[in-house]
Amino acid sequence: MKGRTIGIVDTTLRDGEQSPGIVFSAQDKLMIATALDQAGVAFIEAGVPIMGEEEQEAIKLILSAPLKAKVIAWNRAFKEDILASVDCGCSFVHISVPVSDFHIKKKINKSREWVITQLKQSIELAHSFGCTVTVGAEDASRADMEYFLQVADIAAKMGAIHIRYADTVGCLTPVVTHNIFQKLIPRCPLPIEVHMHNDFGLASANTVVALDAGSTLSSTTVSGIGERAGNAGLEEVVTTLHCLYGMDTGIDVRDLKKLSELVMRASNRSAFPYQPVIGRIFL
Amino acid sequence: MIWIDQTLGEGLRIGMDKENINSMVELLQSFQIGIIDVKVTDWQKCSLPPLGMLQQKQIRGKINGTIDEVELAYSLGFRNIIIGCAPNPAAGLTNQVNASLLAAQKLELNIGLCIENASNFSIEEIEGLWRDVSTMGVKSFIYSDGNSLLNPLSTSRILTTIVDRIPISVEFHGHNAYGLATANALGAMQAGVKYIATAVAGVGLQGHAAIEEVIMIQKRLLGEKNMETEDLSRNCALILAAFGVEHPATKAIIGQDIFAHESGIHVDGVLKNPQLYEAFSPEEVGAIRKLVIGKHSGTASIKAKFKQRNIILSAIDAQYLLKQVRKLAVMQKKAVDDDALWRIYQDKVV
Repeated sequence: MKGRTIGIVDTTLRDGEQSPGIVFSAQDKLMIATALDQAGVAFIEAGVPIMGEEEQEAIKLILSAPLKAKVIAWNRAFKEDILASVDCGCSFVHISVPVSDFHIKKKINKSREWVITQLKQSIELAHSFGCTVTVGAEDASRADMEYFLQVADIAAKMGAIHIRYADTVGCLTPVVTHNIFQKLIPRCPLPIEVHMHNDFGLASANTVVALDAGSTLSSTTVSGIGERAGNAGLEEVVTTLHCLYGMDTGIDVRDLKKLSELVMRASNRSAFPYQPVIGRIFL
Repeated sequence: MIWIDQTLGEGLRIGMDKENINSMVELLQSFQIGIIDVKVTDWQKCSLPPLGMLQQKQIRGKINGTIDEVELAYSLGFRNIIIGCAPNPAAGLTNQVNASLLAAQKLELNIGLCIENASNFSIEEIEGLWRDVSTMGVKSFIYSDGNSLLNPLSTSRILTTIVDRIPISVEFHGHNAYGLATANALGAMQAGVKYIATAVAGVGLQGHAAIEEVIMIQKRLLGEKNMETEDLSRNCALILAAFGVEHPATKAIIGQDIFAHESGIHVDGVLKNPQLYEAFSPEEVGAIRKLVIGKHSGTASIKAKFKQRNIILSAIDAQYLLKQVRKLAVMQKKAVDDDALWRIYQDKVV
């Protein structure tokens, strides 16, 4: 598995900003997106247009910049979400659906069938505007694997380009992750983007283990900012892949420090001195 | 599982206040700490008095493989020591290290041998090294990944063999240069290693596995019942305070904000069933859940906030307030506190 190239799908501007208290201004978002692009990130998840005017202005600003990276808008599988993204001028939309029975029943009180109908309609709608679609499987780590694969099959047949596997509450371990991805990779018709949370401090480890098992895309946030204890950190994932697995991400490791300083400043936070790669103790 | 503490050692290295040492040792006992590792030269540098009877059982001194340091450790009252070395795989232990092992044995010290660069060796090379030292009274073998070269799966694979081939206690001492220390510690635990180096919040030069993370992993992901963790947040906070390090707000398990929810979808979920977006409950680690109002809020959060004041908002009012909240949050670049939210309500809705 050595020598493979991994694409980074950075979600600092969406999941990262969802860390309570962090607010990026439109200018912050533009600066961060530009820095991510310069560093070599393949996809930038820029925000959630349905949230409102402020968010839409920021996304439009990013879309107007000459970036090589694909700029993605995050959506629920709802018509109004997709339309808000299209109105911003987005041509890449991510459509997220819950896939665990727990989320389907307890959060939205619907059925697996309902989720699939919504997903199909949303993909169709996005395609009708000429958008490229990626699909997100929320709470995949607590879902029935067969249902995840069913969603992936539908997404693939309808022309989505990849599917996100989200460990929404960060409850995977590396061994379990490895077992799951060894089973998923040969059966999944789409490239899988791994999206891991850090509730037990295992986000980066679970991410690299899933990539080692054959996934080709990694979700990250700069400095690991994000909901609760955060996401897999861009700096940790990229450095680990380069130094321990001999994999390429198209990102220059030397750009990471500057990027993390920029995001910490815009977040009004400082890095814990013992945070790997970016903490004072490791510099 | 028995944790080998690296927190106090880091405290001494950075020159923490001497007054805090005893209270930190006491706090560390609230975890399942087997022993606390400190560098003997740091103990000396901090001008600390020789170890008392109780400390001799609680604290272990790390030294390099020289007779001088063996004698220094002995004179400072250390009875448990680690002799650390980074040998060349082809050459094996140096005569100097062998001499220090013999000297320590003569002083009847309880000896651990730490191969600092063990992950640079093949398993066969480690076995070869072990054959050289097995007669020298070494009580424990410390496998150290000094350069953070291991990943979770390689740790598990290597340590499974090491535990099998080395007949004394094996300890795993991982580092955190790439953020894999906790996962690697878990790999070693799953390989059957009983003694694991950890530190509160993963502190240490090159970092360590965070004790609060491995404890909660054991409890929630490996299914070990009957673990009392209600004081985890508080004790870690006290230790970091004794240390003079700012408590990181979003650090896994112990951060004050890890149960703060802001985004509309998450708050809506948490109000319905917290497990939708929480891996464990705040009570379990002695923390509290917070509802933050800000740019990412949805109407469900706004309604919930006002319900706490026994005010039932109409959908239209909630929608209106949400718009104002988002504007304010973006303008001030931070969350909207309760007072500000109340002011918006008083000004416009009432």
